[in-house]
Amino acid sequence: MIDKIYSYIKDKRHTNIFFTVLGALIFAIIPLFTDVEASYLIYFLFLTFIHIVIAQGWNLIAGYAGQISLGQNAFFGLGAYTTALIWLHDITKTGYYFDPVVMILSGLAPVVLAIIIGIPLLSRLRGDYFAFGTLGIGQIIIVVFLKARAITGGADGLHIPSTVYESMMPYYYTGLLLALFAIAVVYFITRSRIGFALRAIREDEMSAASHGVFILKYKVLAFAVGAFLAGIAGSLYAYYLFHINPDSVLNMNWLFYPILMCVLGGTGTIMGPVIGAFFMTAIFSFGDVYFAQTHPIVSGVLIILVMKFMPTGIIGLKDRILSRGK
Amino acid sequence: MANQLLEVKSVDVFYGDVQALWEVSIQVEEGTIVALVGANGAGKTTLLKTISGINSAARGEILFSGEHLENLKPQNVVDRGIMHVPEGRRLFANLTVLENLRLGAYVPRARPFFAESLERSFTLFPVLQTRKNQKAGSLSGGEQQMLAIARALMGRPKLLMLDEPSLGLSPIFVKTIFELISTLNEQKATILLVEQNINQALKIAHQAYVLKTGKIVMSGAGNELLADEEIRKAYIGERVGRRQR
Repeated sequence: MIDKIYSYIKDKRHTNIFFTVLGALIFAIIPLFTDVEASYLIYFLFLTFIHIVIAQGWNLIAGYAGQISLGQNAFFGLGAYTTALIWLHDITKTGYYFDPVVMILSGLAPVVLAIIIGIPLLSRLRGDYFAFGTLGIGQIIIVVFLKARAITGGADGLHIPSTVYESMMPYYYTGLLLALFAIAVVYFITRSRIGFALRAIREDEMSAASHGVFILKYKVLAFAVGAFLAGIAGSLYAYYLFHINPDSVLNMNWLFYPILMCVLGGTGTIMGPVIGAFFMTAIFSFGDVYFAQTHPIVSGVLIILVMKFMPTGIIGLKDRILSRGK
Repeated sequence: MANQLLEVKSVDVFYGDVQALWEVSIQVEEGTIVALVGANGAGKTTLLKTISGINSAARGEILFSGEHLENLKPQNVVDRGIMHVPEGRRLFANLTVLENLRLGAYVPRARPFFAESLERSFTLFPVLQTRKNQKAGSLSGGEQQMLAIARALMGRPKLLMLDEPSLGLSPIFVKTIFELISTLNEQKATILLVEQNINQALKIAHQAYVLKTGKIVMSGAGNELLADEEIRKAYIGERVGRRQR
């Protein structure tokens, strides 16, 4: 029995699944041994889970399809605003607080935006130009949300009723579920024909097209899936903040941190963003506690060091150590 | 007239405001090798890209087995049975040899024959079988060109378009590649070949067209053009003594 399990794990195809399931089980029981309401660990993990979701979205479009998108903060923010607006305007007549309908709709609103913006951007712009084009999405959204005061509350933003808050428990478990969902979505997409097409596009777009890969369709698909993941992460974060404004949910940090996490962990690998998210969130939390005023400097130096000595990310370190022996 | 697989009729192509092809017409008969020759920048690659839908024609018609191609997207052209081996091979460098071959059979019409096509590729190029799990980028130049051709054959093309297959290869590989093209043709493949190695290309071509600054300036059977003094002087670089009058 144990032999069987061991050989199952040793099969390369199964190691990722095994570690994900193992990790999920460990994280699922952690709250049983901690004081959920007071523990910093729970908050730290909650934040990590949110970042995993956004980072996996970016991983799909940038790591697998090779299109550097700088629009994740726009999709995250739009997801958060969608949740708040649906709730405040009593639109779906469902429970609102941790309501799956609201969360899914908050993922779909960014998808619509990603498709509308993605088709013209992805059919005309490549490489750096696409990146700058997507950077514009966040800027446009910020201005629109600041100006449309009647709907979005301008700079002050929207307040959803915080009296519903009872416990950190649902945040933690929803975050864990979403992180697992994001990992699973990206894993199964990259294992399918779609993932195969995405990697071909990353390697050589023209060549992929001349082998029958419908470039625009797959790029927009990856862009939209990335937007969906950022959107539901934004929705969950909106439930945590209760106060949604451009400063909090459209902040550039929601763009750059997930990218850093992917790059640090290993872009274009399924576990890279997960490892990167834990690593970065740990650095930031650690810095926050021990170097309260100066922690961005410490974090910055650490990031530079990691990039200097581990250009392929933490995941790439394994291959480098293994190949050194040869 | 024999059975024309591909007919390009009076095609004009622009890059922005610059016209790259002027009323270009060519015909490719089924089962033949047709060569497009000419100097750098004559528009040979542009013509191939226009046929495969990467560039679009401003005017003119492209007929493949009687069907219009000029408004189709690349992925749809491939699905009609035209495989294009682009200049510089354009392999998926970080994917394995096997994955590259799988992408060759990506189109729906080729997918059901994957196993059969793969076996054929490995028979034609045994070296690819021994290297099937290596990254394509790690192969030698000659092996990469073999992979590029094998990948195109995986798509079960009715027409195979090769853009400069001998470019950057050692003389021995150049010979191998030209022999391979002849072999493929004997196995009934129709081939549209763009080459700078005009001597070799004209030797194996049944029909050839000479492009010059975007226009077809001459056409004829391969061996006829090979014997043509103008061609020898202009493109093969052979010194032809001026005849005394």
